Amino acid sequence: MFVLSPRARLLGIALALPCVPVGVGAQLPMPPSEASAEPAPPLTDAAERVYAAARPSLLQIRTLVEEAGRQSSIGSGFLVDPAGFAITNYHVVSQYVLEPATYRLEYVQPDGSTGALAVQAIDVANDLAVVRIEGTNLPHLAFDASATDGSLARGERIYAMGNPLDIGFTIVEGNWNGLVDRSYNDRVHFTGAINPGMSGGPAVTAAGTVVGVNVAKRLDGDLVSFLVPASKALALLERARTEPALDPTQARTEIDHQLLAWQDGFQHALLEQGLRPKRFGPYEAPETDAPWFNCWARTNAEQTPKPRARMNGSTCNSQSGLFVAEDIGSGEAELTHYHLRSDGLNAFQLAAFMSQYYASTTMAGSWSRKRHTPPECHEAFVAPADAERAPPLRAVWCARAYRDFDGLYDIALTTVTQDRDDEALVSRLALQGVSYDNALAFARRFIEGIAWAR
Amino acid sequence: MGAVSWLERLSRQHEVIARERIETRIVRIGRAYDNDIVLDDPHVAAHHLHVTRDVDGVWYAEDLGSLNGLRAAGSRLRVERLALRDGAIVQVGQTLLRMRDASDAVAAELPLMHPRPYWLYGIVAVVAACGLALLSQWLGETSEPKLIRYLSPLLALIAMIVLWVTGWAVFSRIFTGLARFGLHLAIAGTALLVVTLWDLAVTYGAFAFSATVLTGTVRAVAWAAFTLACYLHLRAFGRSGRPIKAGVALALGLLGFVTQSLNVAERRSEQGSAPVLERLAPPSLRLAPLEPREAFLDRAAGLRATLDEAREKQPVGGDDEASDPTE
Repeated sequence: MFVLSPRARLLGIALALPCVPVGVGAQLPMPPSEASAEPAPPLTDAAERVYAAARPSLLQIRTLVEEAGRQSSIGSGFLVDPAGFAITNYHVVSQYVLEPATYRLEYVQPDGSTGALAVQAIDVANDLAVVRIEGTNLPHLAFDASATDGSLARGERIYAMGNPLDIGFTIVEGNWNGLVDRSYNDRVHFTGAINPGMSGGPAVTAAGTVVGVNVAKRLDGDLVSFLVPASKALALLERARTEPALDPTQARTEIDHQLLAWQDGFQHALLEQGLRPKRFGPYEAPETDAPWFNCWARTNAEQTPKPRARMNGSTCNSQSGLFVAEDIGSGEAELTHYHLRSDGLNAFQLAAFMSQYYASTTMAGSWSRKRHTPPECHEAFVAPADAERAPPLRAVWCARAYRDFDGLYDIALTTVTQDRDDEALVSRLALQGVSYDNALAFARRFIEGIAWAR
Repeated sequence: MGAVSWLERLSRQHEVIARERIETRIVRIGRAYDNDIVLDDPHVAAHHLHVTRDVDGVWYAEDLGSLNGLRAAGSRLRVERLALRDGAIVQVGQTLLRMRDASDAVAAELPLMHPRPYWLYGIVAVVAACGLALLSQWLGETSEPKLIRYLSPLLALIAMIVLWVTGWAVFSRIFTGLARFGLHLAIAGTALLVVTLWDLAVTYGAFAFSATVLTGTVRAVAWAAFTLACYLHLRAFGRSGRPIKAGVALALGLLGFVTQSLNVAERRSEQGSAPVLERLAPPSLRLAPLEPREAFLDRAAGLRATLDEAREKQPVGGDDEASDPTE
């Protein structure tokens, strides 16, 4: 899933949260080419009506560099309260929230009126923010009751609005396709064209009531877009109404709390779902059944020339990455296992072959000197708890801390079995933006799960 | 007296270029053709000096009123008269002269040395190093072995050695008159062998002893071998100026080592990677004890304090932001 970049450079489309496995394009059956050539459904009277009704409530939200006074990113938003409360995405206002001294926010309405914006509340896990503009008795949109209780019918025609790529306010027709199955965070699958700059805009029914907030699209598909369910926005709005506004100087602490709480829930849910042993040759290793993980098989069997060692493995990664800033993510989890077996290599050569899989101890998410501390690693030969059941391991644990957020770390644990000369199991656990204790707890379960198959 | 003396003309390095037998008590020296010794030096006067022998048998050089005068070699001080005893050298214009007496002592005869078979040893070392490099390549082979993957590095290694040794031999020939190819080959071959051997030992030793820190020593050993080899190459030129030669070799080696180390550190810091064991070996090579699982996790937990400390420190190095947000 990809968050729509608020930064509407015409070519650089999106901020990729790297939760899609590399090569997904090759692995997902692509729709036949005529599918994309299918004519768009004709614009109906309904769209005209919906847009006319919603127009006064729409906002374009610009993040300006304080010094230059020029926009550095754009997104959309919509008023939901006569007192000036409006909903947008957290990622639309994230630059300002993280660096309030460098940036400021401004809104532009379809009629050209502009003004300043204040951030009232944020919800990083659901990528939402409540902002406020000056004014009373402002036009605003209402939430749809059936959407917030989750009973909107699949296929229902809905309309997404916003200002894509800064070219003007736009309405897009599409279909409600219910909650995404493989997502830890609730996301609605919207089949319609959402483009950068529309982030934070409303998705409404024909009656003009809000059912979701534009948030992301898949770059490897056509018209596969995502909305945050309206219920999440309504909940955040209630919080913003009752609680004091977000103090810009305390924003990082607030994000820190939200991320810690979110990952705590995620890790517990993950362990609750349980790790089940999956067989790899003579070994077994833990995999997760959690539905929000996507698993892909890996093999080198079809390589030419025929490889002299076989690799069969699997990678499971969560589709739950959170956007925190353009160079910080959180919430990715990946479990990888490679069963490597010699097919003509001697013990030394197989060890060299294993090194290719073992040595890439990369973490989930990209490295940024500004955002992360340098990693610290501990490596050793590790004895099994029960020598009858499991082989000894060579293991390396690497961790790095987030500079901006206390208590959050990226960790990677890589192990390789040390019992045979002609085959081995290389396993890797990578967790992004976790608390150290949760990471250790998960790692213990992970290592415990590596054993000889019974 | 009738004693025989020798007037020697010396190079700047004080090697004898020409030697004249002197049987008179006075020798006139200058550029004019009526002198006993004619010097083709533009800085020498037509009648520059004469060298006379006093009653004690000591030779004295005396200026005959030349423009540039006489100096003791290495001195800037002009003198009218200079005693030429005990191998003292006089500078006349740009020419260096020395008188030798029949009674001057000469060094003892050196025993005849059989030339050592340095070249044989050098070839053995180079062949051994090449063999180790090929072995190392073969142990790391993970796909179909192809001859070209062995021949190319071998050829590169041999070309490098030949160029290096030839370079030193040519310099040696220029400065000392002797190429000593065999000696230079022995020096370079030994250095190469030590580095290759150490590299191979460390590749598997780091795994066996679970000591990743060993992999860092390859660089240090390689540059130490380079330094020592440079010193030995220079020393082969002659026995003089050893401290300077050692200093030059050490400076070169240190410069190389520090530059490479900084490069590696910079790359690490840019990629955000830590030094970990990258090359595995067969499990049977393991010599380090197994760590209980809980101890491993405790050590992992212990890294947290280090990370939290690092969090407080400002990041070092250049700005790595992908792009200017105002672009």
